[in-house]
Amino acid sequence: MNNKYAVSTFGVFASIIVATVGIGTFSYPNELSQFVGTDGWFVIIIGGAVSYGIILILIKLLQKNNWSNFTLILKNNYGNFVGSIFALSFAIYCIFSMAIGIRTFVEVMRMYLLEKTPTEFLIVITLLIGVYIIRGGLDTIIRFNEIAFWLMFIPIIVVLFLLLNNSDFTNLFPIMSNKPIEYIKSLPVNIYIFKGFEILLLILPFMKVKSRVKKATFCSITFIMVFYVLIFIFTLAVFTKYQNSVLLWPTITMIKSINIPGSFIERWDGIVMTMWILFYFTTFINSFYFSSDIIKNVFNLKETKLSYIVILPFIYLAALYPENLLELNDFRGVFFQSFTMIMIALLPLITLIKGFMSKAGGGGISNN
Amino acid sequence: MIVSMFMVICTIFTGCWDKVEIDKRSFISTIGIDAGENIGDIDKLKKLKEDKSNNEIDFKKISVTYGAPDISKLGPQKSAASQDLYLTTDAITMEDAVDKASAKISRDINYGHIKLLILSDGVMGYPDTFKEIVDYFQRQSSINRMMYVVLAEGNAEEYVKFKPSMEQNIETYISGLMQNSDRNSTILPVTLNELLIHLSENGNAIIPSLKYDKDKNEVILTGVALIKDYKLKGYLSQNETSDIEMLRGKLKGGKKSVYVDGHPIDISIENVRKKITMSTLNDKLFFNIDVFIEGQIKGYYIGGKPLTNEYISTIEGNFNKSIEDECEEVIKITQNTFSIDPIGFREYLEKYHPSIWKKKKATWEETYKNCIINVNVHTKIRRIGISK
Repeated sequence: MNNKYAVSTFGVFASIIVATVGIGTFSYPNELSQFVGTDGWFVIIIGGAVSYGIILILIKLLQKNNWSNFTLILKNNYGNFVGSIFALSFAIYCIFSMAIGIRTFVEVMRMYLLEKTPTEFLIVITLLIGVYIIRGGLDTIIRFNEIAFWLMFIPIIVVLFLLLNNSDFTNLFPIMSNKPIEYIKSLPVNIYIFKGFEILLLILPFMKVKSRVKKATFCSITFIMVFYVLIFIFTLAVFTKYQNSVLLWPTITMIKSINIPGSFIERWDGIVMTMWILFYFTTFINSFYFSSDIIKNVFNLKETKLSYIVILPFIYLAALYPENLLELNDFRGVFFQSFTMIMIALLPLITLIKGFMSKAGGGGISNN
Repeated sequence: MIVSMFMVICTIFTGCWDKVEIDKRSFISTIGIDAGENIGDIDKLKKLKEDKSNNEIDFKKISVTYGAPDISKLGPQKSAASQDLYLTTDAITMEDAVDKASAKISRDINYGHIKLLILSDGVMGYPDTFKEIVDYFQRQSSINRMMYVVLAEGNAEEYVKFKPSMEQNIETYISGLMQNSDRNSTILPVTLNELLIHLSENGNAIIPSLKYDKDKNEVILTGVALIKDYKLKGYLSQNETSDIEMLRGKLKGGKKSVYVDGHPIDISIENVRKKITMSTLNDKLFFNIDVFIEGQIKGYYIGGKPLTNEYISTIEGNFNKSIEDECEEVIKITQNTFSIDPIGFREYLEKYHPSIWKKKKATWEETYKNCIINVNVHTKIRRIGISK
């Protein structure tokens, strides 16, 4: 058992960013432009601030419970049975979010690259590759996150530079000319793009220097927020808010429309699809490991191997349930968003308050 | 052991469903869209019931010509460009055309390298059909959004098949012409991306127009075509096009002249900047466009007045007045004859005066027709060549 593994500050920073920034990056400018036109960047900043608030709650929860395992925290605070139920519902939330992610991933792959390959086959392949990475355990995943961080963000910053030729930044005007109700309608998009940071519930107990927790998480949320704002501003500059509301994946179309005469890359399809795969995978494996870990702790299994074999069929069936992309988008609607908010924000908050009230909630045994 | 074998086998076979050999692909480089015989019979289509099978009707709405390079003639020892191979089909929609073409062509049609779209003026007279065509191009994931779009007077098929004297095929010729817009102000390149953006804003767009001169066997650019509400409204000549480009601030090169004692003085324009300001009076809009031009004198005449500083200022003043008059003429044409705003006043209002835009949005055409636009040109001649 590799329980002595200690995560560095950069590991925490990279893991939170890489687990949060996923496939939502490629489609959220569409939804934001539909509701608030050019003011999406403002909505993203609000989303970032709220996410940091939730992160502070999660950190406080872990601190109060002596940095123990999330499942153990729930069991200690609510008793064995109810705690297990809550932990299982958290795992179900992870499974749902993975299923939605995998289905979107495969649908876009089918549309841009592999038109005739069956969806089921692509889902099976993705799951198998995920299993292959998970088998290495937590330290493999953290190291993968650290490498993937550089692999993801350096190319995309380079790509953004290349887009400057095509962009007209006056498309960002007019600023703040929407009714307040539109801003409120667009807040749920934030849930879709900022969820993923709950991975810190898994990682922070293993952090080497716990005094740097707040700094690492603050830096990661700021990075994510700035990245999303940049992408949104660039999609607005290349397409206007009108075309942004029409295109389903503005970021992908934007990268495909790079045109630098005389450069050696004439078609950017390959590069954007590589980025798509990388962005998706990091989100997927982090969520996958977290849910397997929860299942292992709930049922007191010796290794995570059994738990992810148990999870696999559920992800597969849930991913195949929606008939098409539009039904998938409905899946991501009010029900799933409220479920997310309950799991990430409400559950830790109530646990924390309960811990304060009972004053005996600090007795978590750390996972040794 | 068995599980890992299964995993390895699965990962090896991922490409099986989508494999297409490279020599079985046809890379379309040009599409030409013409009006078919039945394009005016929309009533016939409206009578069709929604749940009845309509796949057998023989309705020639559009005629699509595909041009693809003949790859067998390309290679390291041979030339880098070749004459195209063509295929024309009659069809109801663009997707129907691909379907019918794949029955006639031995290769897999691939849109990834498309360079040029030629729309004929016949098709542009039917907004319903044009809307279907625009949706098709917006919806395809594999279309190259940086391809050029042009409008051709007459049959697009002739243009696709035209072999220019300097190039091997028309898309190289047109792409080269578009890239020449650095030097020639009468060329206004429009990519599919720009066209889709303009059309999604309000259904209006401008597209460069081509004309095929049969006697001289030449294809020439004749300015731009104006599209309003997805329908072809009219044309602007080459000179008017260069003025519009200047007013949009997008002019990258070009030539203007004034005449002194019967001799022309040419300046070549190097840089254009524009600035729009607006004021309102009694619910009427007044726009001021300031155009800042930088150029150099390219043509004068031997024996003329020496080019001193004061004389240059006089010449600049002449240019200012002449270009102002030209531009105001063109603006009047766009206001009165066409009621289209290609210069960007609508965007200016929307971006910088959103409160006024909200009031005027519904009646923008009327407002644009009645607003007063004042052009102020400031020419600066920076260089006069290497002789006095």
